[in-house]
Amino acid sequence: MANLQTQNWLMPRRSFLKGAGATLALPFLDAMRPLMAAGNSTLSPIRIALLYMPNGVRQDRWTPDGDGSRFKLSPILSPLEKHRKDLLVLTGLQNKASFTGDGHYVKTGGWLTGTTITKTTGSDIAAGGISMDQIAARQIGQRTKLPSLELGTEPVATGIDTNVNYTRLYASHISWKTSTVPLPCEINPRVAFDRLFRTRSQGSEKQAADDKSVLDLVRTDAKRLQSKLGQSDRHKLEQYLESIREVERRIEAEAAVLGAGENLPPELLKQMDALDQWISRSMGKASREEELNSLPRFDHSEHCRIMTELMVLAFWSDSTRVASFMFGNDVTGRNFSFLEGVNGGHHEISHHSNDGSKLDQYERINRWHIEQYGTMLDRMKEIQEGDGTLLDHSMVAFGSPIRDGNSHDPTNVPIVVAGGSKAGLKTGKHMVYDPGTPLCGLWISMLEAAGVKARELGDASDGLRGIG
Amino acid sequence: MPFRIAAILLIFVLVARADDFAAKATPLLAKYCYDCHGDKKQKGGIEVHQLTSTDAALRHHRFLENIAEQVELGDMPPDDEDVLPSDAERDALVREIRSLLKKLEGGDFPRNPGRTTVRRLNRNEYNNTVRDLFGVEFQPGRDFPADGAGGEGFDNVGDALFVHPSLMEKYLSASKRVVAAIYDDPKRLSRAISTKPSEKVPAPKAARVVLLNHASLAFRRRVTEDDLEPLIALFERRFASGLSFEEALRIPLQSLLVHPSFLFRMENDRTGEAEWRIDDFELATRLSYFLWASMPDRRLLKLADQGKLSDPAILRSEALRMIADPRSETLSRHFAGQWLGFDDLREVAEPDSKRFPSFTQSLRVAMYRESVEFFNHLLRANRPATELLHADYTFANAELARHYGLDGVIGSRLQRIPLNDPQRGGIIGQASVLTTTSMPLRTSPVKRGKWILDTLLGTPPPPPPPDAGVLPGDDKSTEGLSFREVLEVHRTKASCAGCHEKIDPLGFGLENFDAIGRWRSVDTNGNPIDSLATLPGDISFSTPKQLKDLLLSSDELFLRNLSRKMLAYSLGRPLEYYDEAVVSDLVSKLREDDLKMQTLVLSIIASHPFQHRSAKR
Repeated sequence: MANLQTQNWLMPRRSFLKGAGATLALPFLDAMRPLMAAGNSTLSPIRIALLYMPNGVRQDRWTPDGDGSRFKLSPILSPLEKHRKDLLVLTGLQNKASFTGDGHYVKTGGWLTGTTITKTTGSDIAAGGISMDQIAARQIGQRTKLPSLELGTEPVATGIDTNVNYTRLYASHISWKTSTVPLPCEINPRVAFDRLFRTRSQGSEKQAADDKSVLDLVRTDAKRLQSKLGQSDRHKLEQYLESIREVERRIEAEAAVLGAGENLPPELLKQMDALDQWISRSMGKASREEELNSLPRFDHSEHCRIMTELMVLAFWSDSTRVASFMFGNDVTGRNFSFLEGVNGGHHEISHHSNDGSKLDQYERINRWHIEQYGTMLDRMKEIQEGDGTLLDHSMVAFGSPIRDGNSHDPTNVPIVVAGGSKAGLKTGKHMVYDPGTPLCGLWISMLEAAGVKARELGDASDGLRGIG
Repeated sequence: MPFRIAAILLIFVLVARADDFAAKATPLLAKYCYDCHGDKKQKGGIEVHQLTSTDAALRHHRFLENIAEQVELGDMPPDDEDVLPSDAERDALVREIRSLLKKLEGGDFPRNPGRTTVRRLNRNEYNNTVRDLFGVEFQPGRDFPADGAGGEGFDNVGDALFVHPSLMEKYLSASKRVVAAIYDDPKRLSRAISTKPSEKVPAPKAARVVLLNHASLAFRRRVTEDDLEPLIALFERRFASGLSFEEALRIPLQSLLVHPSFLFRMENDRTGEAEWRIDDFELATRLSYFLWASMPDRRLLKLADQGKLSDPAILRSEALRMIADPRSETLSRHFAGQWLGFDDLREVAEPDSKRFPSFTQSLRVAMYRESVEFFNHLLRANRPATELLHADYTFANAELARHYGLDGVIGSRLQRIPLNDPQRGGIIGQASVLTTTSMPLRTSPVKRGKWILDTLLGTPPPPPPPDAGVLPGDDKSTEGLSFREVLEVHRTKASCAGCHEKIDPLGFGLENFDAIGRWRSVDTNGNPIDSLATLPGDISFSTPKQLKDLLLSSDELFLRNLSRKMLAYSLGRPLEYYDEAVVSDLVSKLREDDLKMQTLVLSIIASHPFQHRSAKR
């Protein structure tokens, strides 16, 4: 059996990162100047990242005391103390369209779309709208190697939740390319790394030409076949054609970069190399049974750290400007007993019944997520870019689409944004809004700060006051 | 309870007029139910405001029995409502709903074979198909994202299979790897390119033979000139540029693996017809993806080409040949695995490694294999379907046998072993299911009870109220209560008891199996296991054996659910109300032939929806 990692079509990884002809998207050499928030003169692009935590928060330990710039971080948020000047903690937001259906799927499916997902066991899966990251991908994503990046740690949940009659697919997707096309998270770090940073070999012009031949041929045939199909079938072929177009765009972009030569900071190359080795080490340890055809079993903390590091390097190298990450699928039963003082699975603990011990465990799980988020912010803060840091040029949101997991409360959702000072975000504040203020107002503010036109989203037609 | 539902369904013989439902049931639903289950609020995820006609009610038939039961028992509307229906009103509503369900099962409505949305090959199908097409074994699609499920919970439903750019990139790179594997191996290459140019055969003609051959296999049908022309044109361009014959064919061959006719299972529409019999190639494809999760082999395609496959006798003998083929293991892995949930052992199940150090990766694999081999055996040896519920044998290797407390099994290969203990045999006693229905640190009588009601019998309990709360994650109790006692305290709440008195006892009866499926007589705290279970209607049992006897004594729901699930898997679409009559028919066929598993498979293949396609859903 051939070993995929040693196939000769792949160049040895370590050499390609340093080797001649290595092709990566060129930071700052973008032919088109990125759209910037008004008044911002930097050449660095603005990025958006959205980090999703499943199953809500311990609500009495989330909200900071005080508001405006005089606030005290809550116990759950306390690991972010050193970043408080870069933080925007937002209280009082909600997604009204999620106030229906069930306790989980509707909340998660519509987190970034501001819409109500269709209640279905599978025949008419739809979010009702495009997610905000994909709105960004359509506008600012066209200038980078990948329009957007979707990462996660758990495979798409299979089956139907017969309790509530939703396909579990909804629990595993927050990014919706269109109302009816969810984008799955890449959960294998090796695959994600190669997709972002792999390069083509010396003969890559020929390779690109071959790829184009294949895509040309199948596109023509798909169009011919599509015309013979019925409505819903035609829709599937349309997804296929759209995907062909995007892959072609990427091949063209790579070919253009190849012509321009290598121009990555040595420090970035070094860190890519380090991440490459980290992934190999980590995957070497992880067991993967052939019989079960399963994914490698990772240590969850390590898995999350690798994934957040992938986002950092993807932003730094300007391989993409839009990323989403799911720490876990909604309703995840992931066993968090690896944390001191926790015994059990995430979802069951979120149903704490106000029991003191379970609340304490719930809080520990929440804080662990915040620590991972904090680590990502640390990294972004270390990286100098233009007249600031990578974090200054990025808006990194962290949140969950429900507040109290026990009651699936969709009001006053936990949400915090970090960074973005160079995009014009006024950070270092705890903003308290009137109850019922649309979460989509925040999404609009973030999009606008990144130079993305987004007049309306869900129940909001305007950004939030006081943050930009 | 399921036992009762089956009985009740047999009692009522009422024929409703077409819009009796709108006249009799809808006003009662509007008056008593809309406040909590209407378009504003959907408590418990239940909404009844769409039930405005017979047709609408048929389309939402899944909720109906539940509604009837709740109304009949007086659980709904809740007692604290201001206005409650009279007994006569309750009776009228329940009767109307049940008469509709009766029509549904009897097929007393216009029949429809249904319409499957064009299906992309899912990850498993892709791997198997590439293997059978080009003989490559390395699973080029193993890093594709997992596919979500639709309909009855299977990952082969067209509506839930999407194509997105990252998948397209993966198709492209996988196609490169597959073609490289062929070109790097001279033997494979000479098999793939069997016709070479010669003095008699000019290069374009030889290329045409090669491409026609491979495209027919890849597209699973007769290719057209329109299909072939661009492939040959691409070859000719490359050949003219000076590449060798083989090299010139490389990219055309590669493009077959990214081609829509390869990646999608397309079925032709016919203008002006409401429904039609699918052609023999479409039948071959439905058959092979049902039984093998892969492409038809050459023999099937040849029969289809001759127009013989749709001959009932030939179709039957081909199906039997395919069941006997090792490739039919996909039915066990994907159909049974996703239906019964042991597929979750692959990625999801996560017993706590400190609490259960004996749960090694090799034990995980053995548990999975046990269920796969057990189902393989039921099918290939044509055993009765009820043997899924109870059998006096299983499959184990040394590690799994030790896990079960059985001596005398050696080696890592699973082998068939007799079971003298009547508690263990059958799917309910298999460690795979017992583990996937447990929490990381403890058993879950609720999950196990729900598994029996929902997964096995197809009668899911309604969802818990939003503030239901959940039990401790660990059963190491510090308050002197056994875990069962904690659970019983928990469900004294009126809003919980109604359902849990039907769910939990089924799980209590299995408490002698721990969270990874070992037999135990004391719990984690050292107290004796209390497995006495009493279901409503004073049905008591206290061992897995007795639970299995109960299930076997009233097997209608089980057989119906098995038939429904397998039909859905074979069709790759959500089942609609009009399929219920087909399910009834499948159960009759099973009963007529001693419940034999192959009879179910053959009856599905012979069924109207399997061989037909409709213009409308």
